[in-house]
Amino acid sequence: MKVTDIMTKGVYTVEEGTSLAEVLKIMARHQISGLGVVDEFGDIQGVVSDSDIIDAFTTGKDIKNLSVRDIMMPFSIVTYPDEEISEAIRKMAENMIHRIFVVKEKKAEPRTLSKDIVLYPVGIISSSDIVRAVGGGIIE
Amino acid sequence: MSKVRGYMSSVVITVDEDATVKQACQTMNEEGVSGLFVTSESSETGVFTDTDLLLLLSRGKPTDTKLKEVMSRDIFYVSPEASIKEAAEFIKANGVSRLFVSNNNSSGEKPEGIISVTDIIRALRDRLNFK
Repeated sequence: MKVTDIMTKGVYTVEEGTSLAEVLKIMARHQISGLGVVDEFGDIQGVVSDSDIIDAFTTGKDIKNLSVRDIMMPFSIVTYPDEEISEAIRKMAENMIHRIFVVKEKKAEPRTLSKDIVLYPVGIISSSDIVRAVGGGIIE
Repeated sequence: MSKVRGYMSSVVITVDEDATVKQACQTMNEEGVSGLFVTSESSETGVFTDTDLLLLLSRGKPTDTKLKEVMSRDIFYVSPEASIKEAAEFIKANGVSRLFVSNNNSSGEKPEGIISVTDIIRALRDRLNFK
């Protein structure tokens, strides 16, 4: 069983300068709890999730004036479409995360001076995808 | 400040501790929830969530394992009269995604509701008028 077999295709993304207000709107509109953060080249930089917003709220930050860069969780934990689903689950459990982005590599365009390879998100696996797969007998 | 009562979900889905993990996942799918309140004849209670599922699978345990072997017995309760901020702080401090709502948490009685991270985000959105 591969990641591509159960992942949700397509990812909602924002950039670091996106306001938290906009993030809350996107989450509500699409009923999702986390967004990918990409740079101008589409290279994934991290995630902003409902728990990051809760963190900001409980630490007394001025939520009205925050942007994604203030609260996002930079990361390097990703999975790939052809990776075994058991490996993706291991990564999620070990890192205590509820979602993992599925990325593909592409060669950076010449204007991307600082990197050779761009990892761009093509899908996501959330813990609810795993629940669905176990409930449906797809993962035994 | 908004209270837990105004944002909690009053639907608490319960499942017996002898149910298997697979059956629990089927219930979670059908009900559209990510956590279940686990009951037993002995009134010992627990909780089974999507996080517990990830841990179980990553340890190679089969999905026909009974919930009583894998459920979390630490159940975190909050009063319906607590503020949303108090609930958020409690969620963060305990590293959980939801709290059960009850005025009386000393027995194995079914809680009157659940307040989750999603509910708190909704409260924040209302408070900030981010529609």
